[in-house]
Amino acid sequence: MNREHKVSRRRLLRNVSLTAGSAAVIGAPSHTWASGGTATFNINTTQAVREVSFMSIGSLREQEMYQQAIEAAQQETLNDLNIKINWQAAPSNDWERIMTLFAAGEASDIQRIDDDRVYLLALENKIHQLDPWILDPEIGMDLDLYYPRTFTSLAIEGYQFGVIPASSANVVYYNVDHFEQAGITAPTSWNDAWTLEVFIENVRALAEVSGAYGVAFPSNVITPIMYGAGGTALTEDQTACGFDSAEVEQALDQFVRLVVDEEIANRPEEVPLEMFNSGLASMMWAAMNAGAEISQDISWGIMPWCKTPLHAMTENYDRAFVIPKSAQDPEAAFIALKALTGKAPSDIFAQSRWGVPNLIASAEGEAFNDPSRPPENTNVWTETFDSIGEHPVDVNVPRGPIGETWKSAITEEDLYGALFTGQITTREFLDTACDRVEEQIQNLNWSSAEGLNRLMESGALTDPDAKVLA
Amino acid sequence: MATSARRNRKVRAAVRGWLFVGPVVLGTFLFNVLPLIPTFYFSFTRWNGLGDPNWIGLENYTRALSGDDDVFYVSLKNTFVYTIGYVPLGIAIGLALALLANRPLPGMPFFRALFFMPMVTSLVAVGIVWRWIYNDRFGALNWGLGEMGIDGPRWLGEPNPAMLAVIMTGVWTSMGYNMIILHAGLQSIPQDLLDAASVDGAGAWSRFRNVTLPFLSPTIFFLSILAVIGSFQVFALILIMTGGGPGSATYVYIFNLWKQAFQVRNMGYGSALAVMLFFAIAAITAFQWRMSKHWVFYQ
Repeated sequence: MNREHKVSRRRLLRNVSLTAGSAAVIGAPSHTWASGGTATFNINTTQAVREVSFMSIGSLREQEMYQQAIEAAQQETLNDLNIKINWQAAPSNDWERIMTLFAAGEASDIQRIDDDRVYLLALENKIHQLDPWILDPEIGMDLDLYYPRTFTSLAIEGYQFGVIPASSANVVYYNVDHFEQAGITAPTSWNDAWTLEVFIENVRALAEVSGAYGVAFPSNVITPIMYGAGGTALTEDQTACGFDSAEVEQALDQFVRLVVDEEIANRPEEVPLEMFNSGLASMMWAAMNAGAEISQDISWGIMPWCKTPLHAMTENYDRAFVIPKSAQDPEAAFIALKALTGKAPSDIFAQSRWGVPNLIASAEGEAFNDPSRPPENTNVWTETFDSIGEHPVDVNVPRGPIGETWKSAITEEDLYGALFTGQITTREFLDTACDRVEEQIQNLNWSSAEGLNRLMESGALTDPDAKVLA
Repeated sequence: MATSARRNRKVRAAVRGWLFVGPVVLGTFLFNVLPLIPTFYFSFTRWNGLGDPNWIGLENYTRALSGDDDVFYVSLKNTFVYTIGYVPLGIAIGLALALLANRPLPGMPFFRALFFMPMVTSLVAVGIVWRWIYNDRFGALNWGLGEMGIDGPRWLGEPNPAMLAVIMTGVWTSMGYNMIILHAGLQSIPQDLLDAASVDGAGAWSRFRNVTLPFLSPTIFFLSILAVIGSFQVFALILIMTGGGPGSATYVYIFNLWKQAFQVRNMGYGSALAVMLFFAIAAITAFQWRMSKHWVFYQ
């Protein structure tokens, strides 16, 4: 496989050189590339090949997918532009190792990073602001081709520091056999999401019929539960927490009761995927890539999370790529990164179920909605990019130091574990988590304006006037 | 002339010696000793691992020792509990297995290899398997207890059983190593001494207590030093099996260090925790050396 890949690369390079050479011979000084359907980019084909390195952590399967996506981007656009992406192996399958590469100035020119870490990298002036390139009439992106969340979800104080080719939607995976045994039909759209009462009734019914847990979820399910009950992580000015309301307490408490009192949902130490794969959980809330890891013995489908109780919501994980300040040719890196959001690579991401492509044509195209490949209702994934009425399905989680404190306060073992093993009450959980968030707000003297100030002071905003979200 | 030749021999012997130990000394210096220097420095700074560290003097140390870090003393207490459970139990079971392995029974090499297997198994795999075994609803342990009419606890879902479960798994992983080392120690005990004790009328227990144990004491001392250091650094099992929970019941020192340094990205504070651990282990090891005079018997 690797050998074939290398041979193909060599051939590809030769083709690029030949193209460039021929262009020089016939005296054609430039080449026009239709970009995003509207913008054009003139490239001098007599120039040498611009090389861009690429790196991401991920399983062997993912690495193979990246190599295919790179190949697709080369064929689709980059060969014509004399830009070559060189895939690099990640030193380990761990984000922290990638952070040390940033610290050492050795990250790849296109570097995938955990979306939660983009804010810190921007604040520490380790990555490029991308707005000027995205808006550039020659090499920029046609914003209309992408879902709006492409530019809102990862925005750092309104500015772009990363590009998201795809996002992994968290939905409910269900065991088809258990559902049939219990005579339950799964909803097929977020519009038809179960109410909290129906959800809990069905969890009970499934547990009774199967002898397994009715549902299994990881700690971060608290996010959609809170937001679905009308809570928010922070108030709008980011000076206080916004999730300690009675409504949030009431909603969350119902899930706590399922675990602690009724014992029909998983405990914190039990991993949802392990339970689901063993047939010991009838439903699990999990990200999109979980599908590839579900046992072949399990017949499964996907459905939306429930209303808790106002809205049915979820949290998407953005597959974020950034351009480090250490990039040799950052403009070429941006063009290559943009190419990776093109149709051909997006189709590869879609087929691999790595995420819902943010390129609309790909998300709505055949590659993602191939009826011969499970699951049936891929719209449950894509609808997480939409709204029900005026309410978005995806929670736009707060980023930055306060956002991080909030996330760790609600999901870390000491509090979450204590809540779901009955050591503290739901009210105590919310109050303590809230105290932690507000203590951090006080320590950092934080407000909504503070993030922008810090970004300006760090020098990370090279062009504050260029703003995709203006 | 003779002095010069003697000196030359000494120099040659020293060079030979350094050639043997040089690679290890160099590796230890480069990868163990050298990183200590920046760790000491960072422990006096506020640093997120990306930007420039800011010098804050002793603030990281006072934060830990004053109890500003809610889990510092909890993690310290949990680590001591783990050590107190893990070290004696691990050595005692290792010794029992070594005594068993020392008997000329059929198939013993196979059993020695079997008991050593946990030592060469990935801790992550061990943690996952034991997490399933301990599962109180679907796990093998409670099923077995149930067959005997015992209602097993929620092993990983309640504070005390959770720590006990982690200790038992830790002991299980280390017992093979302890067995092999102690077995080697047993084989070095002169048989004529044991025979002489028998002739003098000593029973099995008396021989074990008055001959075997004293002769094994240097080996037990060596194992106890390694086990104490290892117990202070327990991490992978906790991460996989309990994540420090339930609540903070198994939240050990290294887990806190890792969280602070690599999750919260408070590298300065994480470095301070590492430095304190370094000195704590050094102090405990020095104490063990001092106490060894009272119970370790060297031939």
